[in-house]
Amino acid sequence: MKKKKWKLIRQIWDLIRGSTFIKLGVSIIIIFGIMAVFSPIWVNRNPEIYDPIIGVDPDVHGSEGPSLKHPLGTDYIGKDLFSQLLRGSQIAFILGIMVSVLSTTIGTIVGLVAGYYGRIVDIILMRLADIILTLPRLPLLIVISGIFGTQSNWIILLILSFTFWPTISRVIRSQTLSLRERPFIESAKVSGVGNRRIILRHLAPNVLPITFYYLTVTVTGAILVEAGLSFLGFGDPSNMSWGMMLKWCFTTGYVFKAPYWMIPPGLCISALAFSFYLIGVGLEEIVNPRLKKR
Amino acid sequence: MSMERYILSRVIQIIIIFFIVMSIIFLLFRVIPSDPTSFLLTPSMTAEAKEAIREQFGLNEPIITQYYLYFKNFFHGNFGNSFYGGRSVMNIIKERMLNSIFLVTTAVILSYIIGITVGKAIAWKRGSKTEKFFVGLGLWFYTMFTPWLGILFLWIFAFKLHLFPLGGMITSEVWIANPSLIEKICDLIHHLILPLITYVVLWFGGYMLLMRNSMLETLREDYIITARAKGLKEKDIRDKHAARNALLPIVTAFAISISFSITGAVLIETVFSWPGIGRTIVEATLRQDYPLVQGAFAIITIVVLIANFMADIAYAYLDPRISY
Amino acid sequence: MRVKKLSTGLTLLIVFAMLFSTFGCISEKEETPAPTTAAPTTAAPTTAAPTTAAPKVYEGLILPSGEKMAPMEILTLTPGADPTLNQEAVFIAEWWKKIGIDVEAKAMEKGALVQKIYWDRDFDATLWYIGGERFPLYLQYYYCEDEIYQYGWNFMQYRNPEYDSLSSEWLSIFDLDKAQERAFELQEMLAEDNPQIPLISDTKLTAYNNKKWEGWINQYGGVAGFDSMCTIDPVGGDTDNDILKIGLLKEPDTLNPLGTGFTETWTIINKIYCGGMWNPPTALYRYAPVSGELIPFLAEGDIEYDDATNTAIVKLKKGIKWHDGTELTAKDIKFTVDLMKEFEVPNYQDSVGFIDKVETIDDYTLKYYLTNKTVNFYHKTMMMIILQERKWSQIAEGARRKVDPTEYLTQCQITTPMGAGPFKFVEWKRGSYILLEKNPDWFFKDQTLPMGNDKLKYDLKVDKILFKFYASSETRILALKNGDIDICTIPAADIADFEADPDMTILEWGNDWLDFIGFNCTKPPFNDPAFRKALHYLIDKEFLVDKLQQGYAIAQYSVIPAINTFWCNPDCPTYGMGMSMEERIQKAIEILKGAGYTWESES
Repeated sequence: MKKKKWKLIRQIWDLIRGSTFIKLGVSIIIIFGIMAVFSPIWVNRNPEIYDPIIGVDPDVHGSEGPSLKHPLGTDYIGKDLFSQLLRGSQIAFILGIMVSVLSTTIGTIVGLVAGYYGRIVDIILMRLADIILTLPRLPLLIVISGIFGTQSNWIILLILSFTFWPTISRVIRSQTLSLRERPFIESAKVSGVGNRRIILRHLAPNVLPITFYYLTVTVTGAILVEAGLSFLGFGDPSNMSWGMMLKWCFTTGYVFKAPYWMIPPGLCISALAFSFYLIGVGLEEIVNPRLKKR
Repeated sequence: MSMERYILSRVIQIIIIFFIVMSIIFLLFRVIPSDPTSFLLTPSMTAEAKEAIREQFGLNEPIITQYYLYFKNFFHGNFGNSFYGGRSVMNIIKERMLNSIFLVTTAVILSYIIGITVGKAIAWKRGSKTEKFFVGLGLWFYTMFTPWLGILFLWIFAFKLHLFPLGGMITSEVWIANPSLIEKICDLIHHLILPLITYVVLWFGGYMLLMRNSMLETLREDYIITARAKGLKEKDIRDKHAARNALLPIVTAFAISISFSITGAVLIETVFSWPGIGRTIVEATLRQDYPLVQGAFAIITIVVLIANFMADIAYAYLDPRISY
Repeated sequence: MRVKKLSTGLTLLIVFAMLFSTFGCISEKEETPAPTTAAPTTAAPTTAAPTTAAPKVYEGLILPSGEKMAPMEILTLTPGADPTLNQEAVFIAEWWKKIGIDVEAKAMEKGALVQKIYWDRDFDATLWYIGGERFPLYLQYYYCEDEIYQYGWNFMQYRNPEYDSLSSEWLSIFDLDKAQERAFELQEMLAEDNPQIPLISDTKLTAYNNKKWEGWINQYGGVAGFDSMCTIDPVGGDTDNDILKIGLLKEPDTLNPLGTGFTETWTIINKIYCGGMWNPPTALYRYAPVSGELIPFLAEGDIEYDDATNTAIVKLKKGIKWHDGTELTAKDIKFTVDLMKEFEVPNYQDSVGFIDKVETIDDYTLKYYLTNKTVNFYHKTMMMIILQERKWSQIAEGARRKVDPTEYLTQCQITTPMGAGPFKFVEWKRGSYILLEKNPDWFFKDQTLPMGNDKLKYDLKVDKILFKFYASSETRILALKNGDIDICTIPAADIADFEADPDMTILEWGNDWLDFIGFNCTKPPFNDPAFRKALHYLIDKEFLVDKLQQGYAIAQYSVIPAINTFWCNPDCPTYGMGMSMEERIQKAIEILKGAGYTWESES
C-alpha cells in the first residue's frame, strides 16, 4: 500500500517536472508565498513606520524613491511601499484562493447534480447558471458595491464567488452527461449502488481534472477582478491590496512621476495571475489526451 | 430537431432569460439603501424642498405599478432622466455606446486576426521552442492587469515620447476650428491608437491559444494524414484543411468575447478617458446616478444576451455534426 | 485509469497546499500587532524597541455612568472620493485609540454616508467638510434647534438655546461691525462646546502658463475667477482669436441655472448669466474681491432699506443688454423672483422665502416687501440669478401644464442659454468641451469699477473660452505642462516641477472650505462637552498639515475658514497646538478624569 502511494507521488512529481509551464508557475507562486510570509516580519521591525495602513515615516516629505530604509520608496504621506506590496501578496493569496475554492466547490457540485439527475433539476440549475452568466461580471460587481456601499472584504469575496461558479458548473455538467452513459456507471446502478455514492465515488474522481483546472484558473480571475474593482474605487479601503496601491498612486497624482510606486503592484498582480493560469494550462496539456504530443 | 425548431427554442429561452434578468435589475435598484439625492443638497434648500426632491426621485407608487411602468418604459426606449443634469438616459447611452462600439469592434477584429494567424503558425510547430515562447507570451499578456498595461503605454508613448494624446477621444482645438472630415477622422484615429494597441496586446493571446488548441485537435484527424499522403504542400494542408475546420470554436469565441470586451472596456476606457459605456457605468455609479447606471447596465446585459444567442446560432449553422 | 488516479492525487495535493497556505496567511495576518508606542509626530522617532520607559497605556475607557464605552466609528468618504478626508479619519482614529477608545475609521460611498448622517442620524462621529459661503450663513443654520428636524442641516443635533437666540439675532444685524462682533462671539461659543472639531483648511496652488496670459488676480475663491478672466492680457499682443483654455475635472451636468448646485458647473454658468450661486460676481450686488464688502454691480447705488416697513428699494443701471440685444430691465428681475416663488425652486428658497412680493416702480427700480429683516436679503436675494422673462415665461408656461412643474422647470434642457454676462454660449460637445465666446456688447466692457479699496478695469481681451474636460487630475496637469490648457490648480506633489519651469508661475490662495469632525451630540459620551474637548486635544493638526497636505494647509480652530479674514475669529482657543503626543494624552486624560471618566487598565 505504501509502495503504491510513493509510486503515485513520484509519478506526479515526474509529470510536474516535465512541464515547463507548471514549473514556471509554481516557482512564481513560491516567490509570492515567501513575500506573504515575510510580510509580518518586515512590518514588525518597526510598526510605526512600516505598517502598510497607518505607518508613517516622520522624516519623509512627499513620495520618495527607493532607499535602504524603504526598498520601494514611500507614498505621498510617508508610508512604506514595500510593506504595502508584501501585505498585498497576503491579500491576493487569501482572496484568490478562497474565491476559487468556494466557487469551484459550488460549481462542481452543481454540475454533478445537474448532469446526473437531469430533467427538472438540470433545467432549474442550468437556467440559474445562464442567468448569472448573462449579467456581465465587472459591471455587476461595480453596481453592487457602488450602490450598496459594500466596503467589506467578505462581501466582495461572496459576490466574486457567486459570479464564477456558473461557468464551472456548465463544463462539469457536460462531462457528467457523457460519463453517465458509460458502462461502469450502468453496472453500478444495476448492482444497486445509491445515487450519492455513484456521484461521489465514481463520477467525481473523473471530473476532478476539470475541477482542478478551474481551481487554478479561477484564482487568476479572482485576483484580476479584485484588483480591477479596487483600482476603479470600489474595493475595501481598509485593505492595502495591490489594486488599492495603484488606485492611491493614480489618485494622488503620482502615477507618471513615481515609477517605483506604479510599476511593482501592477507587475505583481499580473505575475501572480499569470502563474496560476500557467499551472492550469500545463495541467490541461497533461490531462487532455487530445493535446498530447504525437 | 431541425434548425428552425432549435432557433425557435433558443429564442424563447432568450426571452425568458431577458425578462428574468431585467426583473433582477429592477429589484436591484429598488433596494438601494443609500440616498440618491445626496449630491443635490445645497445649503440653499428649505426643508420642503429637500422633501420634495426625495419624493421626486423616490418611489411613492405600489411596486406592481412601478414594475409595469418599468417594462412599458423600457420598450419605449425610456430609461428616465439622469440625476446629473436631467438628460434623457437613452440619449446619453446612445452617444456613449457608439464610442464604445467603435473602439471595441476595431480591437476585437484586429486581435482576432493577429491571434488566429499566430495560433495557426505555432500549432503547426508543435513542441518547438517557438511554440512554447508564444504560448507563454500570449498567456502573459492575457492575464496581465489591464489598467497597468494601459498606464504603462500612456506613460511611455504619451507622456515621455509625446507620440499620442493622454486620453479622450478628440482634441478640442481641432474640432472648434471647423475641421474637414479627413481632419476629424485623423484626430479620432490618433486618439484611438493607444487604447487599441492595449486591447490587442491583451487579447490576442486568448484567440491564439484557442486557435492553437483547436488546430491541434484537428490535426489528429484522418483527413490530414490523407492530405499528407497525397503529397500536398505543408502550407496548403495547414491553411486549406486544418485551419478551416479549426475555425469552428473560434467563431463562437468571437461572439462570446463580447462579454470579455465589456470588462476590458470598463478598465481601458477609465484609463484612457475614452467616453464609452464602460466608463459611463463607473462614473455614474460613483455619482449615484441610478437611472443612468440602471440603463447602462441593462443595455450591456442585453448586448451580451444577443451576442450569446448569435453565437449559438452560428455554431449550430457551421457545424453540421451537431444536432439538437 | 492511471490518468484518473494521477489527477485525483494531484488535485488533492494542490488543494491541500492551497488551504494550508491560506490558513497560514490568515493566522500570520492576525499576529501583526497594532503600534502601541509613541504615535507619529513631526519629531523623529527615538528607538524602535517598545520596552524601554514606555508611557502609560490607557485601555478600556469607562464612562462616568459606569459603563465601558462602546466601540465607535468615524464615518467618512472613500479614498476614491476624497483621499484627504479618508486619511485624516484613519490617523485621527489612531490618536483617539491612545486614551483607550475602541475606534475605527469607516469609509462609505457618498450616498450611503449622507443617508446615515443627514437622514438617519445614525452615527458616532463623521469627518466632513463645510464652507463655500463668503457670508457664513451656516454659522446659524448648522447649529440651531430649528434645523434638527429630519431634513435639517443640524445633523449633529447640537442644542444650545443661548446660541440659537444669538445666532438668529445675528441674521438681522445689518451693521457690519456689530455683525462681526457677534459672529466672533458665536465662534467662541462653538469652540468651547466643540460639537464639531475643525481640522484643517487647505491652501490651493494654481499654476498658469505665463507665456500665454498674464495679469491673473489672486482673488477670494481662486485665481482663475471671473474678475481675472475679464482683466487678463494675452502675452504677445491682442489678436481677434485669443482663446483661453481651462481644464475642468467634472463635466457640467446642465446649463439650466435652476437645476444645479455644483460649483464646477457654476464656473461656466456665471460667465453667461448674471447672478447665481456660490458668490456670483455679476449680480445686482457682489463682494469686493479683497475686502468682501458689498458693492453694486448691476445695481446703481446702495439699497434703501426701511426698517419700519421692511421694504427695500433697489435701482438698476440703464442699458444692460441680454445677448439677443434686448434690454435687461426690472421686469426680468421681478419675473425671476416670482418664478422662484411660484415653482418653489429648491436652490433659491433661501433667496425668496422671506419676500412677500416685489413691485417694479419703473423699468429700473424695484421695491421688495419682506416679511422680516434678514441679511439673507443682501447675501442671497441681491445675488440671485436673473432670467430673461421673454425666454423663461414660455418655459414656465410649459411647466405649468406638467404633472410636476418644478421638476420640469429645473430639469429642462437649455440648449441656448440666454444671459447678460460677458460671454456667450457657442457649443457643448458632450464628453469633450464647452466653448464660449466674447460678448462684444457687454455693458461693463471698458468700465472701471470701484472694488472696495481698489478699482478693477474690465478689459475683455479673451475672445473665446474653451472649457476642456479631463477625467483625472493627473491628465489635466500634464495638459497644462503641454500647453493644452493655460491654467489649473496643481497638487502640492507637483510644486517642485512647476517651480523649475520658467514658463509657469504659481500662485497660492486659501481655500474657503474646511474639514471637520462632527459628533452626534445626542449619543453618550458625545453629548459631553468635556469628552469632545479631550478628543480635540488629541488631534495633531500640524501632522495633518505637514503630512497629508505637504505643508499646504492651515490648522483650523474656528469653524469658519481662515481665508475668510473678515468673519473668521483668529482668537479661538487653540487646543493642542504645538504639543507633543505625550502632552496631548496627558491633557486629554486630565480633562476626562476631571469629568468622571476612568479606565479599565487603571483599576
